[in-house]
Amino acid sequence: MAPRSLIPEARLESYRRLSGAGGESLEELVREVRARREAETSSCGGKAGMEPKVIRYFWQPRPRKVARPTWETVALHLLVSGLAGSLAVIAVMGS
Amino acid sequence: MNGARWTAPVFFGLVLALFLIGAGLFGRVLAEDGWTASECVLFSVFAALFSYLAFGFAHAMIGACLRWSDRRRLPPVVPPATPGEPGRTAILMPVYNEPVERVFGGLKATFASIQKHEDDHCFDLHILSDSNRSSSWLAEERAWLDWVRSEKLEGRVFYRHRSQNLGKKAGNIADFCRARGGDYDFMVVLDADSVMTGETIAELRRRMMANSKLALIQTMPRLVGGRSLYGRLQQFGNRLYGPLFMDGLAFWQQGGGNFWGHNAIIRIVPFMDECGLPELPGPEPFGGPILSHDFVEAGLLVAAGWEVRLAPELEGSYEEGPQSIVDAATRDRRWCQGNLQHSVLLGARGMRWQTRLHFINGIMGYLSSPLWLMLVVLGVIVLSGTGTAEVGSTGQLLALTALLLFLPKAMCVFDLLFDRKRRESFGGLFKASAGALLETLFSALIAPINMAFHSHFVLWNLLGKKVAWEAQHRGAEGTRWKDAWSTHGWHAALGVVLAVLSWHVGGPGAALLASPVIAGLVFSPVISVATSHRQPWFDRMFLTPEEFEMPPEVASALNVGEERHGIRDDFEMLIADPIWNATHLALLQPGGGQSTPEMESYLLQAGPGALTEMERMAILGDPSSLGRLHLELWRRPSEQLHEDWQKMLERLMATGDAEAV
Repeated sequence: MAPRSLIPEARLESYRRLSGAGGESLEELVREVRARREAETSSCGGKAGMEPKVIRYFWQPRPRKVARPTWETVALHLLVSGLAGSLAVIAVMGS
Repeated sequence: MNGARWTAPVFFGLVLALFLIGAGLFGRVLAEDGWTASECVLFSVFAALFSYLAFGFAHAMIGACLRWSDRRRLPPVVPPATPGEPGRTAILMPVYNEPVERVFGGLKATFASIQKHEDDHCFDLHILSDSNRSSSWLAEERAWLDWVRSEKLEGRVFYRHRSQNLGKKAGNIADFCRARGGDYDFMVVLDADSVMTGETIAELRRRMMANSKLALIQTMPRLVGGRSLYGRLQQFGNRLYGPLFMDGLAFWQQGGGNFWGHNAIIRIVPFMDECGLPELPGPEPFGGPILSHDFVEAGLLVAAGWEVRLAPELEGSYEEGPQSIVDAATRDRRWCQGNLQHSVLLGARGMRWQTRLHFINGIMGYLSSPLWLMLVVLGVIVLSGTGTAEVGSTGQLLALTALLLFLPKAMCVFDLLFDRKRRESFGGLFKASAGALLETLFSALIAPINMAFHSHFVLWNLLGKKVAWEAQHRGAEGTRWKDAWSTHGWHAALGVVLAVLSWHVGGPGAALLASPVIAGLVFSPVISVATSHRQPWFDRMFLTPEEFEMPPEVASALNVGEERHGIRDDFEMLIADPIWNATHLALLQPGGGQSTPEMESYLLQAGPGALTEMERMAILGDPSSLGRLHLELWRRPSEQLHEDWQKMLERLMATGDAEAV
């Protein structure tokens, strides 16, 4: 790396003209022009999304919805299975 | 949501009636002496082809009825935009190693046209580059930087380069939507050879704002810039026949329209919600990424309850077409695979019937070629071999087929009688009629060549092979004889085989029956070369409205200079120029490339021409490296730099202004 002191003033002056920056050293000039261009070209405002769609065909089964049981379905289940069990016991005893 | 419910029954009732008449006549021809297995196959092939022909004919017939009875959908009366709704619109130009001068010519013309419009402040332009050649990348970036700096368009015209072109064009647009979609309501997607007028773009935005159910409006791009005979024939056909067919298409599809990938406006929120494309299961050609994404995107929008409409009445939408048969085949090779892939999606749940029909129409566009070839070969063998063709029915069938093929063209010429301005823009009724006659003759000669190409593409795709032939060496001179023979040699051989076969099996009568197909194939190299050049004899024929009076936007886009070839100059300039270097660093996306300190040191000592393309791309994508190189170039004493760098710095310092270099 060339020391800063060795950079001729004419070259620094050219850099100032070309970049429109006003720093003292080459490093300052470069920092200034980069910050300016960063601000001038930066993007803003993204939006999440574009998830791939799931393609299903006619012959594929629809995904089954698994619902959480409510107290009514639990009660009905107990009632039906209790009744069926009782009938089975009665049928076995009767035979 | 799909508009009038009676339009589809009317349209498809006509298709069905025509199909039944044709199938009945052909059935009578074949049934003279009972049905054989080969006759059943022949009948099936005929049925598929005749229904496709009837489908096309119905478009022109319905289009003509609408236009002549003044019931054509006139430009809709659109209420003014809702106050307070911004309707911010991004105009997108996805590019991939395209000719930079032509791309920027079109963009500048389009954007200048928008700037003349009162709603100009609602539009920004985004150049979305996927270019993977350093020369294209640098030329695009330099052209963009020069443009925005000279015309003070910073914050209006943006450039973005992706380091990896994941998902190709669809991935490029999706990447924009993820990064910037939240800033806009709509996007207008262009193609590298597109031009649109500001008036048309503003009208599209206005229609979107007036109908909140609309997700996409597709315009009908007019072909412009035809230089060769083939290019001019295509644009003449597109301009003369297009309106009737497009009116017929808009009639049956209503809100279940299609997307052709560009020259269309899209509502961003539903596009982002609905159009994330899946990867299809299984191996290529049917599995993998969806190639012709546009049809599927439109289908997904319609399936979700949105409207997708065609606006055939809107002028001010243009694109360039291929200039030779070989150019068109190169494009068709790509499109063929994309359309055949849609067959996998025919059974997808939730798609509307219109979308499935668009898929089938696209597939038949290519599948009809091998079917036609089968029909010719089987027809010669079966009909000539039995010698039992029933003359009355055969004659009626030929007459019906000729009617379905040629009446639409005649109706398109007849349509000019109703519109004086349009008639004059084709050079008058006589020139338009003579042009249509000649165009029909050329179409008849070119159709068998396309049949051979498409049959090849379909077969190879079904076998899972890549279609390839020797690289073409096209230039301003058109297709060369050597290339024509290597490309069309087998077409000519096929024509000779067909001629011998038909003569051998059915005698001169059968050969005469197959002669339109045989002639196109046998003379395919001559036709290909002749049509790829400008033919001064036809300069005053095939006039189109855009040739008669060229829109200023099209003129600006087409009248661009020769392409620059200054990759070394661009690369040196990027490293040396403070503004361009800082801009490139600000634009770089992560993960673009990685160079090494040795490479940097070697570059400064050995000069910019010493690097390979891969090394150059590694440096261009590495912000740390580019930053270090820029600093080091300005710090180092001249004697420690390669003479190319010394000259570059001297040029820069002498002018004091990088733009002037």
